Amino acid sequence: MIQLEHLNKTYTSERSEVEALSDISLTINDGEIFGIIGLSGAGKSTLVRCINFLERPTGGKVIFDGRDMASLSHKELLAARRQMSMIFQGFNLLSQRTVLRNVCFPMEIEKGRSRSEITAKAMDLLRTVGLEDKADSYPSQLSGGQQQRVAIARALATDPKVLLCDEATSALDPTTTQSILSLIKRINREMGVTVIVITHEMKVIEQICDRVAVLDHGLIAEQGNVRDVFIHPKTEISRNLILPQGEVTEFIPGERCLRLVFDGETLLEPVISTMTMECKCKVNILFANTKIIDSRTYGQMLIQMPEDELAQERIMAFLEDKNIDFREETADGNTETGSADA
Amino acid sequence: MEILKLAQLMLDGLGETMYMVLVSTSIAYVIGLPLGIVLCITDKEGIRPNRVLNAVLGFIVNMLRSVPFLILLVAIMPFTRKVVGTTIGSTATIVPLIVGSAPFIARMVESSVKEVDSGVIEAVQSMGTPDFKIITKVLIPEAKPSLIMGAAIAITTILGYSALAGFTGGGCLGAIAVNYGYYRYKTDVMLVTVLLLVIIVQIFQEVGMYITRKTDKRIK
Ligand SMILES: Nc1ncnc2c1ncn2[C@@H]1O[C@H](COP(=O)(O)OP(=O)(O)OP(=O)(O)O)[C@@H](O)[C@H]1O
Ligand SMILES: [Mg+2]
Repeated sequence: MIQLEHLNKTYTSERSEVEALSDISLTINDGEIFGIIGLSGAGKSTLVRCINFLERPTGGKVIFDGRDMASLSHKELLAARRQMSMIFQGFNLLSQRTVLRNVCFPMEIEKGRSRSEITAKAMDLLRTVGLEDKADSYPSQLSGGQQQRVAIARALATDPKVLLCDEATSALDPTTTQSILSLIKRINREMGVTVIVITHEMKVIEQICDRVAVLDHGLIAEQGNVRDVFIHPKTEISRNLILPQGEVTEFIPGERCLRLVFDGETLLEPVISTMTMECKCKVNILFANTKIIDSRTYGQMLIQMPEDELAQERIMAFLEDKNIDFREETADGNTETGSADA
Repeated sequence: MEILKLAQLMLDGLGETMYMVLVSTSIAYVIGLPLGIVLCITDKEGIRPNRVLNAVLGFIVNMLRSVPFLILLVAIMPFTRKVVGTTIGSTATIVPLIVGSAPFIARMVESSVKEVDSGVIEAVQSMGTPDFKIITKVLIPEAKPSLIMGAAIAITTILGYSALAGFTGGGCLGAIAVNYGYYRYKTDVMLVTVLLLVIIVQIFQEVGMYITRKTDKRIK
C-alpha cells in the first residue's frame, strides 16, 4: 500500500540544519495496522506528514498505491491525500461547525455531491462511531474521546484506503484510549482500511498493531512483527520503550528475572498463582502492566525467580507449556540501559 | 438656539454620519478583508508563503497606517477630486475614510485569521482541501466571531475619523461639534453632539460584542 524508500527530511533554517528523518525505508502492507513508535522528537510527526506530502521529503520516495507521490500533479496530490485520512492528538475539529457538519466537510469539497446525500452519509458515519445523538452539538460541548470519534468519522468520510493516526490517543485517559483503539481496530477489520499508528506508548502498539517500526532520532532502529520486537528487542531504545525506565526499581543483582509477555494469546486465567502452585515455589512480581480485553491478556510482567535452580526449570517449563512468551532479563542489562540513558 | 432647530440639526448630522460611516466601512472591508487574508496566507507560516508579496503589501499597509488621518485627508485631496469630483461634503470624505481605514482593517483581519488553530488547517489540508476552499470554508468561518468583533472596532474607529472630516465641511456630527463648539463657542451644541457620538460608539461596540457572543460556538 505504502512504500517509503530512503526517505530523508532535513529542515534548513538560516543558522541550523535539523535532520528530522534519515534513510527511512518501510513497507506498509494492505490491510495491516502498522505502528511507528519513538520518543518525543524522534521524527514521528514529520514522518506522517511526509507520507501524505504535507511536508515534502528532501530525499527518497513515497510510493502510495503504486504511484510516486512526488510525480503527482497538484490536483492528483489533493486526490491522493483524500485516500489517506489523518487523525490527530488534538482532534482538530472545526470549532464553528456542528458535529454533523464537521463530518460533512470532506464531502462538501468534492464536486457534484448533493447536500442530502452528504448528510445521510455523515449520519451513517456518526452511527458507526456511536455518536448519532450528538449530531447537532458543537465540538466544545464534547469530551476528548467523543471529539476523537467525530474526527474518526470525518476521516472516514472520503472512504480512505489508509488512516494515519498521529498520537490519536495521547490526550485521552486509559479507558477512553481503550475504546478509541478498539474503534480503530474495528474500522481496520470491517472496512479494510490500512492503519498507520504513531505513538510513544508501547501499550498502544501491543494492543492493535501487527508490525512496528521503532524510530530513534530520525532513524529506524528496528522493525518487525510486534511480537518479535516485543519479546526480543534488539536495540537499547526498544528495550527502553518496552520497559520504561524508573518503573523497575527493585532489580536485585544476581537474581534471575523473567519478563513475561502477554499478547492476547493467553486466555484470562490466574497464570501466576497457577504457576506458583504447580511449580511449588514463590515468585516475586517486580513489575506488571497487563490488561484484560475481551477476556484475553495483553501486556507484560517482570518476575523474580526463586534461587532454587530446579524451581527455575519448572517455571520455564510451565511457561513454555502454557505458551507464554518470556525472556530472561538481567540486572546488568538493565543497569546498562539506565546509564546509557543518563 | 431653539430646541426644534437643534433637534433637526442633530438628526441631519446623525443621518449623514451613518451614511459616511457605513458606506466607507463597507467599501473599506471590500478592500481590507481580502488584503488581510492575503497578508495572512502569504506569511511564512501561512498556507501560501510568499515572502515578496507579503513584504510589499505589509510595507504599503504600514506606510498608510503611519500617516495621521488629518494629513492623509489633505494629502489625497487631488485623488479625492478625481474620484468623486469634489473635495468637500460627506461623499468626498468617504474617499479618505476608506484609504485611511482599509489598511487598519487589513491588519485586524490578518490577526483574526491568524488565530485560527494551525492544527485545524493541517487537518483540512490532510483531506486534500484546495487553498481557496480553505479560505472560504475554514479560515473565514472559523475566524468569524473575531472578525465581527474587529468590525465593531473598525466601525467605531471610522466614526472617530469621520469627526475629523468635519474640518473639510462634511455635515456629520463631528462637523457640527467642530463648527458650533470650536468656531462659534456654542458649548451646549457641542456637548449634545459629543454625547450622541458616545452613545453611537457604545451601541456599535455592544452590538458587536453581542453578535460575537452569539456566533461563537467555542464558548458555552
Ligand atoms: N518545521 C520545522 N522546522 C524545523 N525543525 C523541525 C520542524 N518540525 C520538526 N522539526 C524538528 O524535527 C524533529 C522531529 O520532530 P517531530 O515533530 O517529527 O517529532 P515527534 O516524534 O513527532 O515528537 P512528539 O512526540 O513530541 O510529537 C525535532 O527535532 C524537531 O525539532
Ligand atoms: Mg509529534
